[in-house]
Amino acid sequence: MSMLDRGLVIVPMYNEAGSIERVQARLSQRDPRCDVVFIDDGSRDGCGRLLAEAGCDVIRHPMNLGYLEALRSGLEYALARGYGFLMFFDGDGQHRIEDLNNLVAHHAAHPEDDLLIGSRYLGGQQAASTLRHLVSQTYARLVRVATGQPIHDVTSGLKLLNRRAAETMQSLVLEDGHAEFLVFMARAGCRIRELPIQVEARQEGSSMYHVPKMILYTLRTSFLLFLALLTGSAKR
Amino acid sequence: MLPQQRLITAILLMLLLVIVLRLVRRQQLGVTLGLVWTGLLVAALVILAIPGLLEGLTALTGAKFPVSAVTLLALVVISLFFFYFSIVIHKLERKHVQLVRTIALMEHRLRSDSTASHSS
Repeated sequence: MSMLDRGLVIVPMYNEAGSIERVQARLSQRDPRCDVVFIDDGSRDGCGRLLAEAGCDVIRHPMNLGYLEALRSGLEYALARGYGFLMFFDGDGQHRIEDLNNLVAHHAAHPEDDLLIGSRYLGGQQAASTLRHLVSQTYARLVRVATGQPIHDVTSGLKLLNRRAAETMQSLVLEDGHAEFLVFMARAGCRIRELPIQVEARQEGSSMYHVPKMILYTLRTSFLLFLALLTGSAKR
Repeated sequence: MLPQQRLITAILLMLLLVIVLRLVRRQQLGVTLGLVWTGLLVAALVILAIPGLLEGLTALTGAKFPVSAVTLLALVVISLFFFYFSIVIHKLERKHVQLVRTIALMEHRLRSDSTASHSS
């Protein structure tokens, strides 16, 4: 099997020591075509060290750069190693392995789809809080208008990108790889498809989105969406 | 402005000019910013040296008083500096992120190579 037939699961982590065992156990049941790399984004709780001691493949940022930069490190690594596709799988234990494997199976059957999104809304779920649901739904509407594609879950962390989509993502100016990312990808001609997933409630740690960050996220994402609609793209 | 005030201001400006030039020579201030500061100080000295120039600038900017014209010009200069430093800070941030990522990937590669050499 050539590297182009293989995929890399990228797991960004920041202070997730409480959930790494669960995530690790789930990922051991992944599709055999996939490898895993954990991106420890400067954690202070030693989760990167624990993973490395357990024999996992870990890239450790010497300091915290943020969720998107953790994804970008995985992206750069995957492209340099020649993987044919890559997946983003949250390190907080909210994603199920069967959903990841479904994305891989769909990719094998439909390689023409550039970007697959795991959608909790197609799976009949809602966002964890009313505020997050409201923000998410507002952006989902905006993304549907901007892309003309029936996208429902714009904040999903579970995604699969083929090589073309990964190379496109690497060239974009992004906020955190969610709503604005989908618009830019659609405008770059990428085929996007949503697949239903189930998201489990977070058991340890706290979400990276608290109210001040949510406000900043909303402003920055809106600015980037405005830029996307105005210029058509946002290349770096 | 009284002649004594002009003289004191000119001395202060020249003192600043000497400090700027010394900082550039000691590489404690970059050439580009050194040039900008030198330009600003020389411009201030010229305005101070030529009587009527400030009044001319006041009329040109549409201000009623020379002090308003100076404030306006100062605000323009400060805004330009702020804009310039916003770009510089962003460029530094991007370089910093790329540097951290490069270190992380190199450290990962070193660890992988060392594990491979131990197992072989």
